Amino acid sequence: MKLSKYNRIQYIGDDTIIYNTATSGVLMLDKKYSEEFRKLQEFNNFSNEKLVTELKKAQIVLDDSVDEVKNVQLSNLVNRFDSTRLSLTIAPTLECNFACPYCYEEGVRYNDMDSSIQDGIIDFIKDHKTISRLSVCWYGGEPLLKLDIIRNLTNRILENLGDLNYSAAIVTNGYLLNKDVALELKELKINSVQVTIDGVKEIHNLRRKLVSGEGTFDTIINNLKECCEIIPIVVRINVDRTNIAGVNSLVEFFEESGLLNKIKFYLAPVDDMNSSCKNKNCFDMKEFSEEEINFYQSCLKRGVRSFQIPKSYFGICGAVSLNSYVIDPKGDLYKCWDEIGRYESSVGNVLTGVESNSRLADWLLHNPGMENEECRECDVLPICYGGCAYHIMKKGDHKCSSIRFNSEKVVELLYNDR
Amino acid sequence: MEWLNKPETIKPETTCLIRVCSTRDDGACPRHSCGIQACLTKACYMNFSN
Repeated sequence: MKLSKYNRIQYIGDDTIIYNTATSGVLMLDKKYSEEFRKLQEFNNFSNEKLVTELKKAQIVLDDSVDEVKNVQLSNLVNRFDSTRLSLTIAPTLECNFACPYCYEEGVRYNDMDSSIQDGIIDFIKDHKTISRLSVCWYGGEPLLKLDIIRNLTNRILENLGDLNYSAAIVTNGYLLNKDVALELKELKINSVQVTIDGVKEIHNLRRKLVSGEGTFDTIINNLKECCEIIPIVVRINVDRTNIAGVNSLVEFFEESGLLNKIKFYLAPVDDMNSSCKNKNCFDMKEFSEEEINFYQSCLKRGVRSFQIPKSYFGICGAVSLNSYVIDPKGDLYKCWDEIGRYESSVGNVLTGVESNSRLADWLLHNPGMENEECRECDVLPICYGGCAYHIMKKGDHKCSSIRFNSEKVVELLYNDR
Repeated sequence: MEWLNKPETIKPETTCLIRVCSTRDDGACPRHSCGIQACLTKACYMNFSN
């Protein structure tokens, strides 16, 4: 037997807390078992069966023959090349009613999806004969500007679904999400809505404004109140150095307006995808991880646990997975959301099929978790596997998971909130 | 001992290694004699050398 290299061990008072990043298991040992665990660490003494049985459940201890790094790589490959699933991110339009200053879709072709492309999507799905699960994420531009296309395509997908397991979600700015729309989205099997809010009214309206320049906060909040009991809503709070100070006020606002316990929300760092952070306002991950802890603490004070131990997903994202595509209104296929509408990055079209071009090969062969020594040896490898593939391939840097920097604090919050 | 966060539940049906590693025509796990299971379970491949 041996200890896992993915254990993060910390001590609070007499207790020992062990977090295994490969299984997400967090085990607390009291004084008595802490002593036993120390023996195990120091003298390789695995004789306490009760302790070892528990430790094994989270792979905190393993058989000597197990090569954990290889197992992580294997999990990455198996899940990436699973041909039983097809994940499509579909943008019915790239038009948007907002003009956010940090939008990475700036300069892309603003057009809507015509019926020939919708036909092509249905055929594209049918051509994937090995799938048993289909998941769709409606995206844009602002997808609710073209609810008619979402309606038509969903109905056609459902008609042709057969035995396929189907799930759908939508990413929207929330401006057009009223009660009737929410009811229709539910009818259309959309089971999750992501809306972005950037802070309290004054801050949000500076950043997430209509093309006309008008603010959008009041409308979005009213829409959330109308819809949050109809359909699950997740609020993404985009933060950088310019708006982080207002995040606590936003949580307070959610509490005052009765939304706090009716929606889920999380912080996300604004990312420099297209030099949108010209003024160096983006956080690096270490800074962001500290802000995240402040945010979690603020939520906990209000009785809401807004954090969880991240699941190990072995670096799987749609961009590096075999059966996952982003489809723009022209039917062009992309691997990464951040490339939508940029034809030079496409890997085919729904009308002509997937092209085996070098761009596709680059995504599918992307393997930073094994090729980069720092990542390969990192104890959060099972969670991020080298981080965002787009970052590495296009910008040459590794965007680590925030848990790499703040796991000790997260575990401490978990411990105190138990 | 207390679990503050339970380890991820093993779901045998979620992952199939056949296309990746099986060398057997019947699709059974190449490294184990579990026989009736065509899919390697997660528990199985996480302890691949057992």
